[in-house]
Amino acid sequence: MKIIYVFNKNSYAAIKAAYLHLKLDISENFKDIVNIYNEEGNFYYLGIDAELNEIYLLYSRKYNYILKNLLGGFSDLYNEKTLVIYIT
Amino acid sequence: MKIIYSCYGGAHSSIVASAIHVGYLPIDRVPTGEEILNIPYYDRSPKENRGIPIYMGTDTELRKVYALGLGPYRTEYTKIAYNFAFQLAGKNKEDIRIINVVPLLSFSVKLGGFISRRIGLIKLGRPLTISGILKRYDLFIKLVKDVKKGC
Repeated sequence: MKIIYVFNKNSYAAIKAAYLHLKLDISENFKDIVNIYNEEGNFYYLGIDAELNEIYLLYSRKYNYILKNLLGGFSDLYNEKTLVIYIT
Repeated sequence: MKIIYSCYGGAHSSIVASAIHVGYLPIDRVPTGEEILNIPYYDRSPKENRGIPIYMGTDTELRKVYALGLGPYRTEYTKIAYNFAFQLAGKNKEDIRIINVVPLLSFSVKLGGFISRRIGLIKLGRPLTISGILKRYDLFIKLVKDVKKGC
């Protein structure tokens, strides 16, 4: 399964959540890390968790039900399971 | 391969383009209004279903054809859709094409779509969408022919 942490403003919380999910250390230069994930619409692959789920970060300023449908609909097209976690 | 025709609401222009592509509508002549009304999903997709690809059929080259409404953030969501498909398809970028049909929309289709889908006055809005589609049907044919050739 793919687990996607989606954020529109609060990148700090989303990145921290994803890092915690993967049990990764939040380094001292966290501010620099935050700036890595700032391209809108890009899927940032962070790694695989203990249950072999793929973890992604997605930044989209325009989050609404259409994006939720789109991610779910495309998952169905490719017969993949996806969990979308929206961090406000 | 997957070919996805996208528009605003996923109820009119993307449905018509994908219907021409899979053969529900003629590619060599302008159809009647009744023929358009008989296409599956025409003027029927509810607003809540925007973003979900609607499977319309498979063409002669065995490509799966879909219609998709992307709402007001079409540019942003098209990028996300490509990027997500890129992740899902195992980096096989050739697997998907998203075709924007919105430029073919006439004012009467936009107005009719708004009246029918948003306000719910189907009897008033639906004929407007059909007349708008028929006026520009030749452009739909050209688009589908180009897509078939290019994919």
